[in-house]
Amino acid sequence: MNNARGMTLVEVVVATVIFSIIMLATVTALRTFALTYERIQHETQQTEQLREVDRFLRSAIRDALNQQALFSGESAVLQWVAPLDRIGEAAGLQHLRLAQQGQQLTLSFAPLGASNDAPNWAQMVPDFPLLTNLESLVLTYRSNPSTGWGRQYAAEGGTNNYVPWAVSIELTVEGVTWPPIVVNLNRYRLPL
Amino acid sequence: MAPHRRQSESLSASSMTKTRQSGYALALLLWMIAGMSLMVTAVIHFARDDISLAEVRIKEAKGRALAGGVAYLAVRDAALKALSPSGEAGGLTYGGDEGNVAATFDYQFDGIEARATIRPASAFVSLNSGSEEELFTMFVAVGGVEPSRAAAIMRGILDYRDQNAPVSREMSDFKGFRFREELLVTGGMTRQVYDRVKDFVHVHRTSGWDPTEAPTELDAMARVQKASSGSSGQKRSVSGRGLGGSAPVRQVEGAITFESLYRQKALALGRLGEAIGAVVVELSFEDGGRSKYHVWMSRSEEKLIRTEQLSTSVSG
Repeated sequence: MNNARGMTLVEVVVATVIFSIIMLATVTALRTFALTYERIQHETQQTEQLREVDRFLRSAIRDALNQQALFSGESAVLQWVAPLDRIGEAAGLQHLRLAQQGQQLTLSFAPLGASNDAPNWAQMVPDFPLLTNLESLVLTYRSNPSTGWGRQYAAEGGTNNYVPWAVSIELTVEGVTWPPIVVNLNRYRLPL
Repeated sequence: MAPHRRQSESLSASSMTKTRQSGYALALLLWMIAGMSLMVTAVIHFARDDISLAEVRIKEAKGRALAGGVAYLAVRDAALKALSPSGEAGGLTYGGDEGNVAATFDYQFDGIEARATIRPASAFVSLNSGSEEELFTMFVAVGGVEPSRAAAIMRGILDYRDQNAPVSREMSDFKGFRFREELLVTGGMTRQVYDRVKDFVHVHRTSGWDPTEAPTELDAMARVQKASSGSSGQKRSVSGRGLGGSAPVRQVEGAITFESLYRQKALALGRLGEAIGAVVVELSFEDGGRSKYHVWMSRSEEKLIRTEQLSTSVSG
Protein backbone atom coordinates (compact mmCIF):
# COMPACT_ATOMS: atom_id res chain seq x y z
CA MET A 1 0.00 0.00 0.00
CA ASN A 2 2.63 2.38 1.16
CA ASN A 3 5.00 1.23 -1.62
CA ALA A 4 2.53 2.27 -4.29
CA ARG A 5 2.51 5.81 -2.95
CA GLY A 6 2.30 8.37 -5.77
CA MET A 7 4.23 11.60 -6.10
CA THR A 8 3.09 14.80 -4.52
CA LEU A 9 2.09 17.73 -6.65
CA VAL A 10 5.15 19.66 -5.52
CA GLU A 11 7.43 16.85 -6.66
CA VAL A 12 5.78 16.73 -10.07
CA VAL A 13 5.99 20.50 -10.49
CA VAL A 14 9.62 20.63 -9.46
CA ALA A 15 10.48 17.73 -11.78
CA THR A 16 8.66 19.38 -14.68
CA VAL A 17 10.38 22.70 -14.09
CA ILE A 18 13.82 21.11 -13.92
CA PHE A 19 13.10 19.02 -17.00
CA SER A 20 11.87 21.97 -19.01
CA ILE A 21 14.85 24.08 -18.03
CA ILE A 22 17.17 21.33 -19.19
CA MET A 23 15.23 20.85 -22.42
CA LEU A 24 15.17 24.56 -23.09
CA ALA A 25 18.91 24.79 -22.60
CA THR A 26 19.49 21.81 -24.84
CA VAL A 27 17.20 23.02 -27.58
CA THR A 28 18.75 26.49 -27.49
CA ALA A 29 22.21 25.01 -27.66
CA LEU A 30 21.23 22.83 -30.59
CA ARG A 31 19.63 25.78 -32.34
CA THR A 32 22.71 27.90 -31.81
CA PHE A 33 24.89 25.14 -33.16
CA ALA A 34 22.69 24.70 -36.18
CA LEU A 35 22.71 28.42 -36.88
CA THR A 36 26.47 28.61 -36.50
CA TYR A 37 26.82 25.65 -38.79
CA GLU A 38 24.69 27.27 -41.43
CA ARG A 39 26.45 30.59 -41.14
CA ILE A 40 29.87 29.02 -41.38
CA GLN A 41 28.75 27.02 -44.38
CA HIS A 42 27.46 30.15 -46.03
CA GLU A 43 30.58 32.15 -45.25
CA THR A 44 32.78 29.32 -46.47
CA GLN A 45 30.91 29.14 -49.72
CA GLN A 46 31.07 32.87 -50.11
CA THR A 47 34.81 33.11 -49.56
CA GLU A 48 35.43 30.10 -51.73
CA GLN A 49 33.46 31.62 -54.56
CA LEU A 50 35.27 34.91 -54.20
CA ARG A 51 38.58 33.15 -54.09
CA GLU A 52 37.83 31.42 -57.34
CA VAL A 53 36.63 34.63 -58.93
CA ASP A 54 39.76 36.40 -57.75
CA ARG A 55 41.97 33.68 -59.12
CA PHE A 56 40.28 33.55 -62.47
CA LEU A 57 40.15 37.31 -62.95
CA ARG A 58 43.78 37.69 -62.03
CA SER A 59 44.98 35.12 -64.51
CA ALA A 60 42.69 36.36 -67.28
CA ILE A 61 43.42 40.05 -66.88
CA ARG A 62 47.13 39.55 -66.43
CA ASP A 63 47.35 38.21 -69.98
CA ALA A 64 45.25 40.93 -71.60
CA LEU A 65 46.38 41.45 -75.17
CA ASN A 66 48.10 44.77 -75.74
CA GLN A 67 46.52 45.81 -78.98
CA GLN A 68 44.54 48.76 -80.17
CA ALA A 69 40.80 48.71 -79.58
CA LEU A 70 40.90 45.43 -77.72
CA PHE A 71 40.96 46.82 -74.21
CA SER A 72 38.30 49.12 -72.88
CA GLY A 73 38.08 50.17 -69.29
CA GLU A 74 35.03 51.99 -68.01
CA SER A 75 34.04 52.55 -64.43
CA ALA A 76 31.47 49.75 -64.54
CA VAL A 77 32.46 47.59 -67.50
CA LEU A 78 35.79 46.03 -68.30
CA GLN A 79 36.39 44.55 -71.72
CA TRP A 80 39.56 42.80 -72.81
CA VAL A 81 41.01 39.94 -74.84
CA ALA A 82 42.82 37.08 -73.20
CA PRO A 83 43.71 33.45 -73.85
CA LEU A 84 41.58 30.90 -72.03
CA ASP A 85 42.25 27.26 -71.66
CA ARG A 86 39.28 25.77 -69.95
CA ILE A 87 36.06 27.62 -69.55
CA GLY A 88 33.56 25.32 -71.14
CA GLU A 89 33.75 25.66 -74.89
CA ALA A 90 35.66 28.92 -74.80
CA ALA A 91 39.26 28.33 -75.72
CA GLY A 92 41.99 30.24 -77.44
CA LEU A 93 41.78 34.00 -77.62
CA GLN A 94 38.49 35.36 -76.39
CA HIS A 95 36.89 38.72 -75.90
CA LEU A 96 35.90 38.96 -72.27
CA ARG A 97 33.55 41.41 -70.63
CA LEU A 98 33.09 41.88 -66.92
CA ALA A 99 30.04 43.82 -65.79
CA GLN A 100 27.37 43.97 -63.15
CA GLN A 101 23.90 42.88 -64.23
CA GLY A 102 21.46 43.39 -61.42
CA GLN A 103 22.80 41.38 -58.53
CA GLN A 104 25.13 39.40 -60.75
CA LEU A 105 28.74 39.79 -61.68
CA THR A 106 28.62 38.54 -65.23
CA LEU A 107 31.42 37.44 -67.49
CA SER A 108 30.61 37.37 -71.19
CA PHE A 109 32.56 35.60 -73.89
CA ALA A 110 32.98 36.16 -77.59
CA PRO A 111 35.47 34.51 -79.90
CA LEU A 112 38.11 36.81 -81.31
CA GLY A 113 37.51 37.04 -85.02
CA ALA A 114 39.89 37.96 -87.79
CA SER A 115 38.22 41.31 -88.32
CA ASN A 116 37.67 44.29 -86.12
CA ASP A 117 33.93 43.77 -85.88
CA ALA A 118 32.21 44.28 -82.59
CA PRO A 119 32.38 41.13 -80.53
CA ASN A 120 29.51 38.73 -80.83
CA TRP A 121 28.70 38.28 -77.18
CA ALA A 122 27.34 35.01 -75.84
CA GLN A 123 27.09 33.47 -79.28
CA MET A 124 29.23 30.43 -78.57
CA VAL A 125 29.36 30.38 -74.81
CA PRO A 126 26.55 31.76 -72.65
CA ASP A 127 27.24 34.50 -70.14
CA PHE A 128 28.62 33.15 -66.94
CA PRO A 129 27.55 34.51 -63.55
CA LEU A 130 30.66 34.75 -61.40
CA LEU A 131 28.81 36.04 -58.34
CA THR A 132 25.09 36.14 -57.67
CA ASN A 133 24.81 38.48 -54.72
CA LEU A 134 26.90 41.39 -55.82
CA GLU A 135 26.07 44.81 -54.47
CA SER A 136 28.57 46.93 -56.27
CA LEU A 137 31.44 46.69 -58.69
CA VAL A 138 34.01 49.46 -58.84
CA LEU A 139 36.71 49.36 -61.49
CA THR A 140 39.69 51.67 -61.42
CA TYR A 141 42.70 51.88 -63.69
CA ARG A 142 46.22 53.10 -63.52
CA SER A 143 47.51 53.99 -66.96
CA ASN A 144 51.14 53.99 -65.93
CA PRO A 145 53.18 53.53 -62.78
CA SER A 146 53.51 57.25 -62.19
CA THR A 147 49.85 58.20 -62.33
CA GLY A 148 47.11 57.65 -59.79
CA TRP A 149 44.01 55.54 -60.03
CA GLY A 150 41.34 56.75 -62.43
CA ARG A 151 37.76 55.72 -63.05
CA GLN A 152 38.40 55.25 -66.72
CA TYR A 153 41.20 54.09 -68.92
CA ALA A 154 42.17 55.92 -72.06
CA ALA A 155 45.11 54.73 -74.13
CA GLU A 156 47.88 57.28 -73.95
CA GLY A 157 48.88 58.75 -77.24
CA GLY A 158 52.44 58.37 -78.37
CA THR A 159 53.03 55.09 -76.61
CA ASN A 160 52.50 51.55 -77.72
CA ASN A 161 50.38 50.75 -74.72
CA TYR A 162 46.76 49.91 -75.27
CA VAL A 163 46.41 48.35 -71.87
CA PRO A 164 46.83 50.06 -68.51
CA TRP A 165 49.63 49.27 -66.12
CA ALA A 166 47.22 47.96 -63.52
CA VAL A 167 43.53 47.31 -62.99
CA SER A 168 41.76 47.28 -59.66
CA ILE A 169 38.43 45.54 -59.05
CA GLU A 170 36.52 46.26 -55.88
CA LEU A 171 33.61 43.97 -55.11
CA THR A 172 30.96 44.47 -52.46
CA VAL A 173 29.10 41.30 -51.64
CA GLU A 174 26.38 41.14 -48.98
CA GLY A 175 27.43 44.36 -47.34
CA VAL A 176 31.08 43.37 -47.20
CA THR A 177 33.56 45.20 -49.38
CA TRP A 178 36.41 42.85 -50.16
CA PRO A 179 39.97 44.00 -50.55
CA PRO A 180 40.38 45.15 -54.14
CA ILE A 181 41.77 42.70 -56.67
CA VAL A 182 44.71 44.57 -58.14
CA VAL A 183 46.19 43.07 -61.28
CA ASN A 184 49.39 44.12 -62.94
CA LEU A 185 49.26 43.50 -66.68
CA ASN A 186 52.06 41.41 -68.14
CA ARG A 187 51.88 42.98 -71.55
CA TYR A 188 52.15 46.54 -70.41
CA ARG A 189 55.35 47.99 -71.79
CA LEU A 190 57.33 50.42 -69.75
CA PRO A 191 58.02 53.60 -71.72
CA LEU A 192 61.56 53.54 -73.05
CA MET B 1 9.57 -2.03 14.83
CA ALA B 2 6.78 -1.72 12.36
CA PRO B 3 7.49 1.85 11.27
CA HIS B 4 11.14 1.07 10.90
CA ARG B 5 10.49 -1.88 8.65
CA ARG B 6 8.13 0.13 6.52
CA GLN B 7 10.70 2.86 6.05
CA SER B 8 13.42 0.50 4.90
CA GLU B 9 11.05 -1.11 2.40
CA SER B 10 10.08 2.21 0.89
CA LEU B 11 13.72 3.22 0.74
CA SER B 12 14.73 0.16 -1.20
CA ALA B 13 11.80 0.63 -3.61
CA SER B 14 12.61 4.29 -4.27
CA SER B 15 16.30 3.51 -4.82
CA MET B 16 15.28 0.88 -7.34
CA THR B 17 13.18 3.31 -9.38
CA LYS B 18 15.96 5.88 -9.14
CA THR B 19 18.43 3.48 -10.68
CA ARG B 20 16.09 2.71 -13.51
CA GLN B 21 15.32 6.38 -14.13
CA SER B 22 18.99 7.41 -14.00
CA GLY B 23 19.61 4.87 -16.77
CA TYR B 24 17.16 6.69 -19.04
CA ALA B 25 18.58 10.06 -18.10
CA LEU B 26 22.07 8.84 -18.93
CA ALA B 27 20.95 7.55 -22.31
CA LEU B 28 19.23 10.84 -23.06
CA LEU B 29 22.28 12.80 -21.97
CA LEU B 30 24.63 10.68 -24.06
CA TRP B 31 22.38 11.06 -27.08
CA MET B 32 22.36 14.81 -26.73
CA ILE B 33 26.10 14.96 -26.25
CA ALA B 34 26.55 12.81 -29.35
CA GLY B 35 24.28 15.09 -31.36
CA MET B 36 26.06 18.19 -30.24
CA SER B 37 29.53 16.83 -30.85
CA LEU B 38 28.43 15.78 -34.31
CA MET B 39 27.45 19.34 -35.05
CA VAL B 40 30.60 20.76 -33.56
CA THR B 41 32.63 18.35 -35.67
CA ALA B 42 30.81 19.44 -38.78
CA VAL B 43 31.40 23.10 -37.97
CA ILE B 44 35.08 22.47 -37.33
CA HIS B 45 35.33 20.45 -40.50
CA PHE B 46 33.90 23.30 -42.54
CA ALA B 47 36.18 25.83 -40.96
CA ARG B 48 39.18 23.61 -41.51
CA ASP B 49 38.25 23.01 -45.11
CA ASP B 50 38.02 26.70 -45.68
CA ILE B 51 41.34 27.33 -44.02
CA SER B 52 43.12 24.66 -46.02
CA LEU B 53 41.67 26.00 -49.26
CA ALA B 54 42.78 29.48 -48.33
CA GLU B 55 46.23 28.15 -47.52
CA VAL B 56 46.48 26.47 -50.89
CA ARG B 57 45.57 29.74 -52.51
CA ILE B 58 48.14 31.65 -50.45
CA LYS B 59 50.77 29.12 -51.37
CA GLU B 60 49.88 29.46 -55.00
CA ALA B 61 50.10 33.24 -54.90
CA LYS B 62 53.36 33.05 -53.00
CA GLY B 63 54.75 30.52 -55.42
CA ARG B 64 53.89 32.64 -58.42
CA ALA B 65 55.38 35.79 -56.92
CA LEU B 66 58.45 33.91 -55.80
CA ALA B 67 58.90 32.28 -59.19
CA GLY B 68 59.02 35.70 -60.82
CA GLY B 69 61.48 37.01 -58.26
CA VAL B 70 63.71 33.95 -58.52
CA ALA B 71 63.73 34.28 -62.29
CA TYR B 72 65.01 37.84 -62.05
CA LEU B 73 67.62 36.78 -59.50
CA ALA B 74 68.80 33.92 -61.68
CA VAL B 75 69.10 36.11 -64.74
CA ARG B 76 71.03 38.69 -62.74
CA ASP B 77 73.34 36.06 -61.26
CA ALA B 78 73.92 34.51 -64.63
CA ALA B 79 74.84 37.90 -66.04
CA LEU B 80 77.22 38.53 -63.15
CA LYS B 81 78.78 35.14 -63.61
CA ALA B 82 79.32 35.85 -67.27
CA LEU B 83 80.96 39.15 -66.42
CA SER B 84 83.35 37.84 -63.79
CA PRO B 85 86.73 36.85 -65.27
CA SER B 86 86.89 33.47 -63.57
CA GLY B 87 83.39 32.38 -64.53
CA GLU B 88 82.86 30.59 -67.77
CA ALA B 89 81.14 32.56 -70.41
CA GLY B 90 78.28 30.11 -70.42
CA GLY B 91 76.24 31.45 -67.55
CA LEU B 92 73.30 32.84 -69.34
CA THR B 93 73.41 31.12 -72.64
CA TYR B 94 70.36 31.94 -74.55
CA GLY B 95 71.77 33.29 -77.70
CA GLY B 96 75.23 32.35 -76.49
CA ASP B 97 77.66 30.18 -78.34
CA GLU B 98 78.10 27.25 -76.00
CA GLY B 99 76.88 25.86 -72.73
CA ASN B 100 75.80 22.26 -73.00
CA VAL B 101 74.42 22.24 -69.50
CA ALA B 102 71.80 24.75 -68.55
CA ALA B 103 72.82 27.14 -65.82
CA THR B 104 71.31 26.29 -62.45
CA PHE B 105 71.02 28.51 -59.40
CA ASP B 106 69.81 27.62 -55.93
CA TYR B 107 68.19 30.03 -53.54
CA GLN B 108 66.92 29.71 -50.02
CA PHE B 109 63.99 31.65 -48.71
CA ASP B 110 62.10 31.61 -45.49
CA GLY B 111 61.13 27.96 -45.44
CA ILE B 112 61.13 27.65 -49.20
CA GLU B 113 63.88 26.31 -51.38
CA ALA B 114 64.10 27.42 -54.96
CA ARG B 115 66.08 26.08 -57.85
CA ALA B 116 66.22 28.00 -61.06
CA THR B 117 67.41 26.59 -64.35
CA ILE B 118 67.85 28.93 -67.25
CA ARG B 119 66.93 27.44 -70.55
CA PRO B 120 66.84 29.14 -73.91
CA ALA B 121 63.58 29.12 -75.80
CA SER B 122 65.10 26.57 -78.15
CA ALA B 123 64.95 24.01 -75.35
CA PHE B 124 61.22 23.86 -75.99
CA VAL B 125 59.22 23.52 -79.13
CA SER B 126 58.09 26.68 -80.82
CA LEU B 127 54.55 26.75 -82.11
CA ASN B 128 55.43 29.54 -84.51
CA SER B 129 58.73 28.40 -85.94
CA GLY B 130 59.02 24.73 -85.03
CA SER B 131 59.51 22.52 -88.06
CA GLU B 132 57.00 19.91 -89.12
CA GLU B 133 59.30 17.22 -87.90
CA GLU B 134 59.68 18.77 -84.45
CA LEU B 135 55.95 19.17 -84.01
CA PHE B 136 55.22 15.70 -85.30
CA THR B 137 57.81 14.08 -83.06
CA MET B 138 56.59 16.00 -80.06
CA PHE B 139 53.00 14.90 -80.52
CA VAL B 140 54.05 11.30 -80.95
CA ALA B 141 56.60 11.18 -78.15
CA VAL B 142 55.13 13.55 -75.58
CA GLY B 143 51.50 13.86 -76.62
CA GLY B 144 51.16 10.11 -76.96
CA VAL B 145 49.04 10.14 -80.10
CA GLU B 146 49.07 7.93 -83.17
CA PRO B 147 51.34 9.08 -86.00
CA SER B 148 48.36 9.68 -88.29
CA ARG B 149 46.69 11.90 -85.71
CA ALA B 150 49.95 13.64 -84.92
CA ALA B 151 50.24 14.51 -88.58
CA ALA B 152 46.71 15.93 -88.56
CA ILE B 153 47.44 18.01 -85.49
CA MET B 154 50.66 19.22 -87.05
CA ARG B 155 48.81 20.26 -90.18
CA GLY B 156 46.32 22.12 -88.00
CA ILE B 157 49.14 24.07 -86.43
CA LEU B 158 50.66 24.94 -89.79
CA ASP B 159 47.26 26.12 -91.00
CA TYR B 160 46.85 28.29 -87.96
CA ARG B 161 50.27 29.80 -88.58
CA ASP B 162 49.33 30.76 -92.10
CA GLN B 163 46.12 32.40 -91.06
CA ASN B 164 46.20 36.01 -90.18
CA ALA B 165 46.10 36.29 -86.46
CA PRO B 166 42.75 37.34 -85.07
CA VAL B 167 42.27 41.10 -85.10
CA SER B 168 45.34 42.94 -86.09
CA ARG B 169 44.47 46.40 -87.21
CA GLU B 170 47.81 48.02 -87.65
CA MET B 171 49.83 44.87 -87.99
CA SER B 172 47.98 43.24 -90.79
CA ASP B 173 50.99 41.04 -91.45
CA PHE B 174 50.93 39.39 -88.06
CA LYS B 175 50.46 35.67 -88.31
CA GLY B 176 50.59 32.81 -85.92
CA PHE B 177 50.31 32.08 -82.24
CA ARG B 178 50.48 34.63 -79.49
CA PHE B 179 49.64 32.34 -76.59
CA ARG B 180 50.02 28.61 -76.20
CA GLU B 181 46.31 28.43 -75.34
CA GLU B 182 45.55 29.13 -78.98
CA LEU B 183 46.70 25.61 -79.65
CA LEU B 184 43.30 24.47 -78.39
CA VAL B 185 41.49 25.94 -81.37
CA THR B 186 43.71 24.41 -84.03
CA GLY B 187 42.36 21.52 -86.03
CA GLY B 188 42.67 18.01 -84.65
CA MET B 189 43.66 19.15 -81.17
CA THR B 190 42.01 17.80 -78.07
CA ARG B 191 42.26 18.90 -74.48
CA GLN B 192 43.99 15.68 -73.41
CA VAL B 193 46.77 16.14 -75.93
CA TYR B 194 47.01 19.82 -75.06
CA ASP B 195 47.43 18.99 -71.39
CA ARG B 196 50.29 16.66 -72.20
CA VAL B 197 52.24 19.01 -74.43
CA LYS B 198 51.42 22.43 -73.04
CA ASP B 199 54.41 22.55 -70.72
CA PHE B 200 56.81 22.12 -73.61
CA VAL B 201 55.57 24.59 -76.16
CA HIS B 202 55.93 28.32 -76.50
CA VAL B 203 55.20 31.02 -79.04
CA HIS B 204 58.64 32.56 -79.40
CA ARG B 205 60.69 32.24 -82.51
CA THR B 206 63.69 29.95 -82.34
CA SER B 207 66.05 28.58 -84.88
CA GLY B 208 65.07 25.03 -84.21
CA TRP B 209 64.67 22.72 -81.26
CA ASP B 210 67.87 21.99 -79.39
CA PRO B 211 67.94 18.55 -77.70
CA THR B 212 71.05 19.41 -75.70
CA GLU B 213 69.25 22.16 -73.84
CA ALA B 214 65.92 20.43 -73.51
CA PRO B 215 64.56 19.30 -70.16
CA THR B 216 64.59 15.58 -69.37
CA GLU B 217 60.87 15.31 -70.02
CA LEU B 218 61.64 15.74 -73.69
CA ASP B 219 64.17 12.89 -73.81
CA ALA B 220 61.56 10.66 -75.40
CA MET B 221 61.22 13.19 -78.17
CA ALA B 222 64.95 13.25 -78.78
CA ARG B 223 64.97 9.46 -78.99
CA VAL B 224 62.13 9.35 -81.48
CA GLN B 225 63.77 12.06 -83.52
CA LYS B 226 67.09 10.29 -83.57
CA ALA B 227 65.48 7.03 -84.60
CA SER B 228 63.52 8.62 -87.41
CA SER B 229 66.41 10.69 -88.70
CA GLY B 230 68.58 7.59 -88.68
CA SER B 231 66.20 5.75 -90.94
CA SER B 232 66.72 7.45 -94.29
CA GLY B 233 65.11 10.67 -93.09
CA GLN B 234 61.69 10.12 -94.52
CA LYS B 235 60.22 12.92 -92.46
CA ARG B 236 62.44 15.73 -93.54
CA SER B 237 61.82 19.16 -92.30
CA VAL B 238 60.40 21.31 -95.02
CA SER B 239 62.05 24.43 -93.79
CA GLY B 240 65.35 22.77 -94.48
CA ARG B 241 66.87 23.18 -91.07
CA GLY B 242 69.34 20.51 -90.19
CA LEU B 243 68.02 18.83 -87.10
CA GLY B 244 69.50 15.37 -87.21
CA GLY B 245 72.75 14.74 -85.43
CA SER B 246 74.38 17.93 -86.57
CA ALA B 247 75.33 20.61 -84.13
CA PRO B 248 72.34 22.77 -83.34
CA VAL B 249 72.42 26.27 -84.69
CA ARG B 250 71.40 28.75 -82.07
CA GLN B 251 71.09 32.32 -83.04
CA VAL B 252 69.69 35.33 -81.41
CA GLU B 253 66.02 34.67 -81.10
CA GLY B 254 63.13 37.01 -81.01
CA ALA B 255 59.63 36.70 -79.76
CA ILE B 256 57.15 36.95 -82.51
CA THR B 257 54.75 38.90 -80.54
CA PHE B 258 52.93 42.00 -81.43
CA GLU B 259 55.33 44.01 -79.36
CA SER B 260 58.44 42.57 -80.92
CA LEU B 261 57.17 43.28 -84.39
CA TYR B 262 56.44 46.77 -83.30
CA ARG B 263 59.93 47.19 -82.05
CA GLN B 264 61.40 45.69 -85.15
CA LYS B 265 59.79 48.50 -87.00
CA ALA B 266 60.45 51.14 -84.42
CA LEU B 267 64.12 50.41 -83.93
CA ALA B 268 66.59 50.06 -86.70
CA LEU B 269 67.02 46.45 -87.64
CA GLY B 270 70.64 46.24 -86.63
CA ARG B 271 70.12 46.32 -82.91
CA LEU B 272 68.10 43.25 -82.15
CA GLY B 273 69.87 41.56 -79.34
CA GLU B 274 66.64 40.20 -78.09
CA ALA B 275 66.63 36.81 -76.56
CA ILE B 276 63.81 34.96 -74.95
CA GLY B 277 64.38 32.28 -72.42
CA ALA B 278 62.53 30.33 -69.84
CA VAL B 279 63.70 30.20 -66.28
CA VAL B 280 62.47 26.92 -64.90
CA VAL B 281 61.81 27.55 -61.22
CA GLU B 282 61.25 24.64 -58.87
CA LEU B 283 60.01 25.52 -55.41
CA SER B 284 59.92 23.13 -52.45
CA PHE B 285 57.82 24.29 -49.57
CA GLU B 286 58.36 23.43 -45.93
CA ASP B 287 55.40 21.08 -45.83
CA GLY B 288 56.70 19.01 -48.73
CA GLY B 289 54.64 20.69 -51.42
CA ARG B 290 56.46 21.31 -54.67
CA SER B 291 55.59 23.47 -57.59
CA LYS B 292 57.27 24.21 -60.84
CA TYR B 293 57.01 27.23 -63.07
CA HIS B 294 58.25 28.39 -66.41
CA VAL B 295 59.01 32.06 -66.21
CA TRP B 296 59.42 33.40 -69.71
CA MET B 297 61.74 36.35 -69.79
CA SER B 298 62.98 38.70 -72.39
CA ARG B 299 66.62 39.37 -71.82
CA SER B 300 66.94 42.57 -73.74
CA GLU B 301 64.09 44.17 -71.88
CA GLU B 302 64.85 42.51 -68.56
CA LYS B 303 61.16 41.89 -68.48
CA LEU B 304 59.01 39.04 -67.38
CA ILE B 305 56.76 37.93 -70.20
CA ARG B 306 54.67 35.28 -68.57
CA THR B 307 54.72 32.91 -65.63
CA GLU B 308 53.25 29.51 -66.34
CA GLN B 309 52.66 26.96 -63.63
CA LEU B 310 53.48 23.48 -64.82
CA SER B 311 50.97 20.71 -64.48
CA THR B 312 53.55 18.52 -62.81
CA SER B 313 53.34 20.55 -59.62
CA VAL B 314 52.46 18.62 -56.49
CA SER B 315 50.82 20.37 -53.60
CA GLY B 316 51.71 19.07 -50.18
